[in-house]
Amino acid sequence: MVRLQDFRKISEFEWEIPRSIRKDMRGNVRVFASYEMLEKGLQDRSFEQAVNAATLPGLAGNVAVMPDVHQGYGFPIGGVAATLLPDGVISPGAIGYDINCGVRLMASFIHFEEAMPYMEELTNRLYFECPSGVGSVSSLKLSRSVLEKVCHEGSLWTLKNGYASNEDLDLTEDQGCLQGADPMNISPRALERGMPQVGSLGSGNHFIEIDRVEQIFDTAAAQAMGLKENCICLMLHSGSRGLGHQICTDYVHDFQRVSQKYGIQLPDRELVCAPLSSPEGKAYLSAMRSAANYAFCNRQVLAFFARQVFESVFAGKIKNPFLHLVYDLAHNMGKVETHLVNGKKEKVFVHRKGATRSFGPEAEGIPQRYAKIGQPVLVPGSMGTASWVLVGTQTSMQKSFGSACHGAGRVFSRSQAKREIRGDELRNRLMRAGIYVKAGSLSGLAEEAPEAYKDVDQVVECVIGAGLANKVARLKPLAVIKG
Amino acid sequence: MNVQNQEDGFLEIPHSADLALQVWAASLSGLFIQAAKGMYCLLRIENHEGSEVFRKMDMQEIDFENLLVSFLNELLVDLQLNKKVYDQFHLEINHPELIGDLTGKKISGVGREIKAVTYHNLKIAKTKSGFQTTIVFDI
Repeated sequence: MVRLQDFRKISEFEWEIPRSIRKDMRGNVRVFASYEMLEKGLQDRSFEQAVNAATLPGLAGNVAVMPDVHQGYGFPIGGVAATLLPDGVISPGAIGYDINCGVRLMASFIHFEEAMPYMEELTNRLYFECPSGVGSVSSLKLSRSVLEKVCHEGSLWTLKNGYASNEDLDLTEDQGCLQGADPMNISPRALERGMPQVGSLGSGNHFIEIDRVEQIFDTAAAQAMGLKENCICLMLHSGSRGLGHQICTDYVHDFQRVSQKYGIQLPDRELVCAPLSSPEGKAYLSAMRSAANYAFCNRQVLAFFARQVFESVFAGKIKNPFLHLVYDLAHNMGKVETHLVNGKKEKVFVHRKGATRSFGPEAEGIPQRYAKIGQPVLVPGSMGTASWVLVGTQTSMQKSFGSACHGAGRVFSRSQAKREIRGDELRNRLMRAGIYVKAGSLSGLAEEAPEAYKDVDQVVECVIGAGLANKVARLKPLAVIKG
Repeated sequence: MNVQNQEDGFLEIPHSADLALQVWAASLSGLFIQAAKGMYCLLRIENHEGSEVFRKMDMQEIDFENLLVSFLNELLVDLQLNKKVYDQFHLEINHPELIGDLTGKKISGVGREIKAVTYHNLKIAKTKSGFQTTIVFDI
């Protein structure tokens, strides 16, 4: 059990759990949070899970923990852990079941007052055209051979098939395609689950949101991103659907034996792992990359559907209804990157689970358009509150393997949310606040109530205070579509 | 959340982001059955009146915990791909093997998605009255 007295204060927004508190830790845990957020994190087992993550063999530097941290399974949501190449480990559970779950932001030059008369129609059409909900399937029916191409090519497949532009690929993390994907390392069952779901949102905390750019904090960065005050934008949150879930399930299962084979002792079997240099580690890496490519493709196809809806609803009413891509990023992902570890440039494998990249200006791998300002960091808040657009910093490269928060972070459980909040009342409350809601399930809506999450503004203040990102714009929701 | 009876049962317990289920039973096979019923309860099964379905299972794993996760994941995938839910279980569990005859129904859908059954802190404990465990589900 991690206690408040186990933390050493580094600064107002930075705390450390030293490796001396438990013998099996291979590095410290560095938490980026205010005192208030730290106390919230102590309400569940988040920090104990971060300490467990610090036991991963080959750990490089500190485990980083974001202010939106909450308890996950094995590895905390909001955690970042890097391992040294070539023999450090790769852990499927430290990336999560929804591989490359991520967020895409598209912006327009439509003033929100022009759009408001059509908001209900827009919401209903998006709900209809972008399949959401439990087990939702897409209107795209892919054969197995096409699915394997999707796993190989990611967003490139959408470009070849008319769902994307070159600009869309340029503004997607890794251009929407991780090299080294190999669908041969995916089980037939995973492929079967993935086949009908390219272009579907899913359920749980996945959503589409129409927002208004409420306030701009960095004019130059906002201009580079095409964000204009009071104009509307669309944010969507989805991942690799059943394909990714099954890949993680398969490898967490197989790695139960593999960890034993390599003599790896862990405090939680959900953290099972294999050396990156091992055949098993390489197989999972190539399967994970396949799922990541699938997820990039999924979000691009959903974006295509959303653009069609905008064009159709605003035809003859608005001059330019086009939704241009600001950025698409992952927040459950594993990547080979180069970072400073103990003052030395090292190749590491960075596990980010519920954390996004936050690469600063001139960093390798960010789009040319953002080379001078740093990459966009997209932070969706809870339903009905606000979302943020930030940019990555040089400081994040030094402190957190170039990472920042991914959202608001839950504070109480789904069962508590359902006990305390009624779905119909929540929907009415949001409607009274001027937010259209279209949800497949009222109980699912209640589970995602704003009260169940931390205050996203406070989370962002911690990230800014710690120097992991800078503010660009605050977005205010106008409509929410949930599965 | 349903609590079945004092000997065998399940209870949803709080978890910040995902779902967790405490399960107990007098026997190991009873524990597996309660875990399956508890998972179906979390999934909010809709319309249980479809055609009758049957399934045979034969699984081997390195330990009981692995066997439990694999058993539940099999049921989960059968539900997601084939919309099959089972309510009658005849299980024989002899370490590390499970042999099962399952009877159930086709359903129209579920109210909630479970991505996976996790191994997080999973331990099947022997108690005075039988067995107990806590399972975390990723949603």
